[in-house]
Amino acid sequence: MSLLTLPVYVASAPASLLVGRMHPPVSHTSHPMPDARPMQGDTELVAAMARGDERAAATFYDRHSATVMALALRMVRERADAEAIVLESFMQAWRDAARFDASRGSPASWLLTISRTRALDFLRTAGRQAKRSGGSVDDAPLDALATPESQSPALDAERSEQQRAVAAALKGLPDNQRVAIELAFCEGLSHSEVAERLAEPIGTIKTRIRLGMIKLRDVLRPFAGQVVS
Amino acid sequence: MKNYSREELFELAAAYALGATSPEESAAIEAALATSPDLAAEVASFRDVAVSIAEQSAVTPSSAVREQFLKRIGDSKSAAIPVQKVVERRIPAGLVMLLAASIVLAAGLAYRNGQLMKELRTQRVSLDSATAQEQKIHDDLNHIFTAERDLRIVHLKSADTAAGPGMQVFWNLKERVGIAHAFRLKPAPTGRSYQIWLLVKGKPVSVKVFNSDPDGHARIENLDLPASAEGVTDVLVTEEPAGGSPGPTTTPFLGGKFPATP
Repeated sequence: MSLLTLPVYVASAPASLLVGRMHPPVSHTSHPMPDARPMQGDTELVAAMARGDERAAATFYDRHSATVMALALRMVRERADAEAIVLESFMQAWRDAARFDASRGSPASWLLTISRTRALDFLRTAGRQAKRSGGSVDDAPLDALATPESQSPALDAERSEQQRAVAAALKGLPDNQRVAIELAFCEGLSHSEVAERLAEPIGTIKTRIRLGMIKLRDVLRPFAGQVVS
Repeated sequence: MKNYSREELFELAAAYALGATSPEESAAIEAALATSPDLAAEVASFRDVAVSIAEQSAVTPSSAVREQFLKRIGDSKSAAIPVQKVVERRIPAGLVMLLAASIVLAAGLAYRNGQLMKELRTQRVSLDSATAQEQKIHDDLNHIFTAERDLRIVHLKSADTAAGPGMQVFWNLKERVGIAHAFRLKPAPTGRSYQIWLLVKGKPVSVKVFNSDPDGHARIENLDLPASAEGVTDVLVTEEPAGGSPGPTTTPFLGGKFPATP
């Protein structure tokens, strides 16, 4: 496993560099269709995909597949299932690229929504979520979100200021807020399911999720506009 | 479905961005997104947070996934391209004409479809109107049939009681509903119509203007009846200018006594 990151740009970089610094895909150095256009933003890539540009699709995959894989793996637990979800998610992104609406969010959030929906469909179809719901919160460490799965110190050094800030903010969240967010986002539970799992009132869970998300958003606010989208 | 206030939708935005809202809540937010840029911006900001959360972990899928993805998108493109090439290279003139004719036919069918839809809408309106009218008649008849002691029936006769026109008026006093049926009554001449009057304390009160069908029959609904039958002594019919008159302008040719009791 290696860590891939989305194209995030350093806050203090001059404007001319804000579209030029991107973490290269670590694990795809010998692919037959290398990322020839590292300068392209995600929105441009999706637009190119809508026109049938396979190279754009490859670049989009290289940028986001590791994030999608991590999310899918956390939700479905089995690597083979997670890889199937990654493949189907990118296929759907390829087919639906023309329908992407930038006013609704970034391409990355669009892709993650697709992936999450695919994973939830898989869980429902396979009846696996019911089995998982019997597990304990302790199954997932409380600081899982704040602990990158990186095994590459060199890549850690390249992590953007934004990501470090988010990681710190996640660590700084009260445990109950972080757990609620993790169960909702990473395990695909609705807030009523989170409430049931944690044996808390649903109103409490809604409040915890909202407060936690607002804190994380406040951390991200200084970086607004620096992520290529 | 519950109606969500603006505040409630904003409070749900974070959970929605995480995919944690119920289907009903999600539907409410999605319905509001189109008309509320503020809410859309709120959701988008939380979606960016969700992306940042997801970015905290990264697991590289096997290279086979990438290869399969590129192969499948390549296949999906090549499945489409040959069709285009075949069309460009092989279509004979006859087929081009056939295609052109098909397009014309399709356009014609689309136009005809539009016409049929328009006719259908018109007929649906007519049907709705007729249905409503029939329902009203049904209700009125029901009122007549169930009037019991509140029903008054007036038999109107002409000078020629054997072969001349006649009319029956059915009046539910309690429900203030009345129906009349005329028979052997020739349609009024052009520019003329018939008018039914109640004689109330000696004064004529208009009840309805009507005309008969070519077969001499007329079913007359929605009689404009007074709230009470007090003072009503007679029911009369005159011939009047089309649209009726404020008062009778001709001598009644049909008349009948209003019965005091059923």
